[in-house]
Amino acid sequence: MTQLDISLTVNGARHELSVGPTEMLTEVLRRRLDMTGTNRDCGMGICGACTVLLDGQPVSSCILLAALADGSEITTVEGLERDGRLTAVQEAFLRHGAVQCGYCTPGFVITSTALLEENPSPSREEIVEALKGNLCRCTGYKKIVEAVEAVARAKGDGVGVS
Amino acid sequence: MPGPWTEPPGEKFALEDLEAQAHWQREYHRIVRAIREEMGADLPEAAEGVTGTVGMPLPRNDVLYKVRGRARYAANIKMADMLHCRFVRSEQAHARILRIDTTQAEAVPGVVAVLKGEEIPPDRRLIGTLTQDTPVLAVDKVRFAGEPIVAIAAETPEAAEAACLLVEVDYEPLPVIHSPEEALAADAETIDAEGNVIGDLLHEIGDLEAGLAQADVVLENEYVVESMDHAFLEPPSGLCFLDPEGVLTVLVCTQYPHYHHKQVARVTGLPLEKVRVSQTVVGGAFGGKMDNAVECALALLTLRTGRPTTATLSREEVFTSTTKRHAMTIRQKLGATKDGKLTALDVEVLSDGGAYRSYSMIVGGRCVIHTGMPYRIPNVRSHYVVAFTNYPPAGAMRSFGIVKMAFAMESQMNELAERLGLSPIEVRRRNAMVDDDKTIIGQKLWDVAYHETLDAIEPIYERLRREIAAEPTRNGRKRGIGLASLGYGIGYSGVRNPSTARMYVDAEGQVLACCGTPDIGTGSDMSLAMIAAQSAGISLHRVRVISGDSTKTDDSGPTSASRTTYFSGNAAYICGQDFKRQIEEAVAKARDLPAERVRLEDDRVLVGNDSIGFEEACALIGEGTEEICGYGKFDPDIAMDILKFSGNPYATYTFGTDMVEVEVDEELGQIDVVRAWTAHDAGTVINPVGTEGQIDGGVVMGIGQALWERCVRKDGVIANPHYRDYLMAGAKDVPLEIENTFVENKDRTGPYGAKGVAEVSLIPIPAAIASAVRHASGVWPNHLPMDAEYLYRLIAEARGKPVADAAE
Amino acid sequence: MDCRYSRPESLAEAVAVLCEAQEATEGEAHLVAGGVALGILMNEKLLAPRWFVDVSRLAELKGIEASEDGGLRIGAGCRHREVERSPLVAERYAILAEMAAEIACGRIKNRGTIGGNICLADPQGDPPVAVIALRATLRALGPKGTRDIPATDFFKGLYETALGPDEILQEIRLPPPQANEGAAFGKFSARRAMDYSSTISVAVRLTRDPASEQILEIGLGLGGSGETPIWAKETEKAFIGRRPGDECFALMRETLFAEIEPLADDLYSQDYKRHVAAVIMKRTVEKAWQRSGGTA
Repeated sequence: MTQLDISLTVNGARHELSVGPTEMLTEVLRRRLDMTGTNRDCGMGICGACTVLLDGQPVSSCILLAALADGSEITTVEGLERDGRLTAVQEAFLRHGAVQCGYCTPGFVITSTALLEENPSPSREEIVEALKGNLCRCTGYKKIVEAVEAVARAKGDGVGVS
Repeated sequence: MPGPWTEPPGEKFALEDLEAQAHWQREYHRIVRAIREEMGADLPEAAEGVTGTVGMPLPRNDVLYKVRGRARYAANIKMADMLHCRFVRSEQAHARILRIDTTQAEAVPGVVAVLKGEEIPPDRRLIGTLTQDTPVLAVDKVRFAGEPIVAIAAETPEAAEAACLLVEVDYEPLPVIHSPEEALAADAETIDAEGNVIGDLLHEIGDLEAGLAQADVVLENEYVVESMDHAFLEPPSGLCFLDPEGVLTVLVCTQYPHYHHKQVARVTGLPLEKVRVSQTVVGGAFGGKMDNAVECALALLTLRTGRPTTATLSREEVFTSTTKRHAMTIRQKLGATKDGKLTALDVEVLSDGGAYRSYSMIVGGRCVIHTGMPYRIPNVRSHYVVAFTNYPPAGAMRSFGIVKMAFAMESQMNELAERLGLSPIEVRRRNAMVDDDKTIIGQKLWDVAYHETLDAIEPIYERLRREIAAEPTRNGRKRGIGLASLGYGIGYSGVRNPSTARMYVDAEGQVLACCGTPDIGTGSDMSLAMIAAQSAGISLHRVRVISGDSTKTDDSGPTSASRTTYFSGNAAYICGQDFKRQIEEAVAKARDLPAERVRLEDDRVLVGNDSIGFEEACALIGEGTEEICGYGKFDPDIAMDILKFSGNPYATYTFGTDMVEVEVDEELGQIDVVRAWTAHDAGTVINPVGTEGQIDGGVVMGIGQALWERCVRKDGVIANPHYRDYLMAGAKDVPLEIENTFVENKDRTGPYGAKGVAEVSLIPIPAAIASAVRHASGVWPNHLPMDAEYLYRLIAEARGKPVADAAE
Repeated sequence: MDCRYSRPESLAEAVAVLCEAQEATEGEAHLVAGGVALGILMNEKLLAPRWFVDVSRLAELKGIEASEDGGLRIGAGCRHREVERSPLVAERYAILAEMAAEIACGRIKNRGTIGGNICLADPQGDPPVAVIALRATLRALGPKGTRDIPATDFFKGLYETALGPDEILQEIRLPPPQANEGAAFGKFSARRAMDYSSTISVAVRLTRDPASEQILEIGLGLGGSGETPIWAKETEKAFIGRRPGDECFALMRETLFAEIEPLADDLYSQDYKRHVAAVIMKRTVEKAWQRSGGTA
């Protein structure tokens, strides 16, 4: 079987890996690197449970050939916290009840983090636009959007984010 | 057998070591304290936690792991030497199996075990909740496409998948039954040995004909509801292994570990004490994780190979093989006098039970019992028939059928209001159940706050009517509002279903509360911790809840039917009281005081004139803490004669009213739900964050069922087994303005007065939307989902235009 | 089956590798740019690739810049997100930004490329519809050199294009905007995000004759209206020399119904989809007309 040597920087740590050309990034993260925070569900890029940041941009890792990520910086949900503290987004999700079963949560947290990085004070419409492709079956989305709004508001008030 | 302390309490939640868990729990309680301070409390700096939390909007401690990607979902657990299991599934909807050849599959490198149904002893092949009718693996016949036939365990998932493709199954196709109507035809092919009827339930009160004769208005309509999927995001997943003591251990995402405990023991032939089923973090369930998905096959493969074995279903397998919501056709005749008093109700339901029984009879029973709720109707006839078809089994799903009954009943009530020129609130008020009213099977109600939910919605309704009258269209779309109500019994129907709880403490003051019903993602563990802590008089931060483990908790039934807060909450409350008493007695003994001179409250123990902290008290009790075990059992007197439909089937009832505002694009037939309001009688709200979350989520699931969601059944298969064509709402499709009111009420039988809310807000939504569409566009939808083409055609027909060039 | 993976360093090398790969695999080689559709098809087991030719890093496929004739050149490897956010696009071909904004969701837009989507020729694809309406030229490089293919002549059938198996789409070339031009993109979907099936999309680019207040020329592309993205040639004719309004739309509806043949699916019938296409077209033409300076 053909193998490719690739290099991925995941949450700041560099990994030299040999992958099959058809291997998807989700599998590499979960099986090779034991990083199971990135959840697997639809396998079609629809639900968003497997969202990771690829060079800062949210992508569906379940449909991304690992080979295409060669040389990239990957951020997974495990890589967000700093010094044993939650990020502002994580704490807002906790406090606002934006999480129930939690299976979609890593995708929402990652996507929201990228949004706020790019646009620290998004409007409600911009938040919804950014999150529209992530499915959640439990919360009805309201509290997720409210959590992101709360972070945006805190930023506006000059409170640090992460 | 492992005792409650043998594994760390957080083990169920988190994939990280104890030290890390302890750190994050401290972080969590720091946040809880911050919330308490924001609420105005002046907390002593020295104290770690807070007491008296019932009613506080608290975050959940499991979320700490979920937002960080450390949640212990079954698919995230790895074990050394672990095998991967995949299933060969039927491609035929209905067929005899002539031959299963696994020779080539067995030869695939990496394949370790290939399991066929015939290898299971005949008396252990069938499983099921109420009736054991479902083969673990099909043997001589398949009844739906997607039914498992062979299970293969291999070193890698890829090898197992490759082997599955090489299994040859020869079928002799049988006629496929596509609908209950076909199933009931005289010459229909029989699906089950006992015939095609799963259940035929009938209950009558009063004199239907006389009631109809008294009526000034009789409405007769038919409502059709298609099948839908739970669409929980986490596919069923589990892991099975033999623990060092030889106990066959299944870790699995489920709503009911104790059921699987018994099933796995049965299928494997092991004694109950040699089997343990423990729940992992559950990524949503909604009734879809009640039945066997992977449990039994994993158990058999682990016994066969001696190795840990794991399986996770693919999304396609979830859609094609797990249980579904029953498709139903409901015919309703409703009679009323001209002043709006209901005189008679005749309900005829034909329900599609799919290929096996699952929870069909429970859904049927609940539909009959709830007929006419939440109204007083003197003359009622309710007839419910559920039949087999060759589609995936229909089972439990959020509200057990009542969302469909409500779609029919509440739509009729709205039509009646219109017919009589009354407001939909007024017509409901004139018939609304109050304390001491009886349900159609004779249960007398108490602490009913249904009227209050109407009162809460009324001003909003009146305001919106005025707003829309002044501005009937917005962005070219027609506006409308509609409302609907519900009454719902909490817990099992007519069967005793006790819950228990136990509380333990160690000499450092750490408290474990072991509760039977598992948390399936709703945050029930949090509510139980709050109740147990407050009842015991200790700080929340001391209490960790363990739930849903067959060796650490009693069988307290599943988390379903909105029962956990009420049943297990009561058990936790009683348990807390017992625990408190035992602590007080132990301290009294250590200090050589009479017990009545010791009081545990507000996380301190008052000893005579002295006051010591809870930890100090536990240190004082020392080894004596090992003797302490608070116990609580809640076992309300529920009894029903199922044949006569009489008795007291539920421990309590909850009521509510939902309202929605829609905008209709008449040219396309598309409906937007732009705002929603709910008013619920949830009794006391234990945790407003969690309760609101259940309400919001129910509203949105109701919108999904009303507008988009359906399992497309075509030629014996589910034709849309993926999120691409199974349309679940995203954030842009649903209202973010959902205003929830909890009317003030306390249930005298509930923990701190609480009832249950997990299913209720969903129930009125489809009927409320249908009524709003009527308001906006003048048509009455009577089909779910009301997808765009359906509504477009309905509007076109109403305006007398042929479909192809209507809506000009 | 074993799968090879090549990452050529230039477009010319990519063409050479592609030729070799196609020959070695009997046509089972695949170019990888964003890899979105590819990943989905692989996970659905509808595709078992034997040789990947990774063109995702080729500089020659990148960039959006003004071309010498006053038009615009978009590298085939540009991601939907770049198209959506490009100031050059916004300034002169806002319809493309409008179209790109409607694609799936952020995660997909961050990976998928405009060229990849055009080459997939999905009947529901959005970029194909826009390039048809804009009368773009699709420039491809093959072993025999460069070839310019009009977008209106590019889509041949179900997932079939005018490209040869050894050709690579290099860039999309847009003609310069005209005076009194207006363009718009409209889409119908059951849900507001992530709809891959049963969508119907319409792209309209028109010029208005200020003297007569009539449509002077028009380009119409339709998605979800047949086996492949549709150039609605006959419907275009029905608009020319008319002013958007009830009479014009009635005529359009009739012509359009004859011209398109949407595929019935699990959600909607063919009749309904025809109706939807006509409604979306009407709305989109109205929008384009207003943008051209025309009055309603």
